[in-house]
Amino acid sequence: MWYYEKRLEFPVNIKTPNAKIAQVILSQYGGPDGELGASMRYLSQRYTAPNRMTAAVLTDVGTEELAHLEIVSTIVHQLTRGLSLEEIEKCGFAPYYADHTVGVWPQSAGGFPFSASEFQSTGDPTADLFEDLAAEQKARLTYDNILRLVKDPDVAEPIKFLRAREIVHFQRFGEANWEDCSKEN
Amino acid sequence: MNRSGYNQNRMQRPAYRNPGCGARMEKMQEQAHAGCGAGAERMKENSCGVCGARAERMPEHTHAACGARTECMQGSGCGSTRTERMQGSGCGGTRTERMQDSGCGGARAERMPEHTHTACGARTERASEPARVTCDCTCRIDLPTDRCKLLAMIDEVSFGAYEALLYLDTHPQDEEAMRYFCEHNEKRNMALREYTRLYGPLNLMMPGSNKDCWEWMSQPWPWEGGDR
Repeated sequence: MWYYEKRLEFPVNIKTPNAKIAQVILSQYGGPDGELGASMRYLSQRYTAPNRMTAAVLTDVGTEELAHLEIVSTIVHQLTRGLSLEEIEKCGFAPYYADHTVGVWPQSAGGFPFSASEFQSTGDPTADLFEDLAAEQKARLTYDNILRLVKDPDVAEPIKFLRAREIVHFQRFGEANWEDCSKEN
Repeated sequence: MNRSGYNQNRMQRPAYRNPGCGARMEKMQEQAHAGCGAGAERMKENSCGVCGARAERMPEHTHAACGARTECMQGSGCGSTRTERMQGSGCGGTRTERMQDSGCGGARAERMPEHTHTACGARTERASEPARVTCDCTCRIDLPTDRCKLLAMIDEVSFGAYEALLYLDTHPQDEEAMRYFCEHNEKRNMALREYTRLYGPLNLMMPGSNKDCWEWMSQPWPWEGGDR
C-alpha cells in the first residue's frame, strides 16, 4: 500500500508559463519512455522477481517513479497555468486544448495517448531486468533532449534532478541483474 | 561464424520455437552458454564499461557493485554446502518450505533451476549478513521555523534517506550506508513532526495531526508551487 506525502520529491515553482515546452515535457508523463510507464513497469514486474533483492529494487524504484510522475505533471500544470487563448494558439497548444483544456492527460509529445504496450512484464527475470536497464537509459536520453530545448532554469532544475535519478536507478537495476545472473557467469 | 550468423543459428534451434517448460529451460541455459560466447563478450564489455566510463562518474558505487558481484559468484555453489549454510543461518526448514511455496521451488524450479538456486543462495547469504547498526542517533538538528526552509530541509533529508534505501537494497551489508539511512530518517521524522506542529501535516500518518480539525485539505498542494 502507499501513503501520500504532501510535497514533491524535488520542488517545482515555475513563474513563466510556456505551452510549447509543456507539450514536450508531457511526453515524460505519458510518452513511450515516460514516468507512468516506468512506474507501472516496475510495480508490475515485482511479482515474478527472482529474489528478494530484485523485489526490493523494483518496489522502491517503482515507488520513486510515482514521485517523478508527480514532478513531471506538476511541471506541465505550471507551464500551462494562466495562459491566454492567444498564447495557446501561438504555441501550437490548440489541438491539446480542444480535448483537455489545460488538464493534465498522459500522452506523448507527438500526441499519442499513453499505452501499456510501452512496457513489458514477461515473467522472465532476465528479460524484465534488461528491459528495465534499457528503460532507464531511454528516459535519461529523453531528459537530455528536453534539457537541450529548455532554457528556463525553473524548468531545467527539476528535469536535471530527474535525469540524475535515471542513472542511479540504472545502477541499482544493474546490481540486481548481477545478483540474478551471476550464477551463469 | 560471424555474429549475425551465430544469432540466426540460435534462432533456428527448436528450443526457441517450443514454448513448453523444457524449451524454456533450454532457452535459459542457452542464454548462459551465450554468456560464454557473444553474450559473454557483451557482458564483459558492459562490466568493463561499468568500471570505466561509469566508474568515472561514481566510482564508489561501481566498486561496491564489483565487490558484490564477486561475492555472489563465489558463494553461489548450490550443493550441500548451500543447504548447510541455509540451516546454519537459522533459516532452515520453514524458510525452505516457504521458498518452495512461493514459486522458488516446484514448477518454477523445473523451468529455471539456475535462477532459483541463485536466488536461494543469495537470499540465505544476505539473510545472515545484513549490516547491524545500533541506530541511537543523537544527532542535533537545527530546525528552521520558516515554512519554506523547513520544507526544503524535509526534502533534503528525505532524499538522503530514500537514496540510502535504494542503495541498501543492493548493498545490505554496508554499515556506513545503514548509519547514513538511520541518521537521515531520524532527522526526517524530527523535521516532519516540527512541520506538523507549526503548519499542519504533510503526511496524514504523523502523530498529532488533525487533532482539532481536518487540516489536511486546507494545506497547500505540492503542485501549487508559489512560495517555495
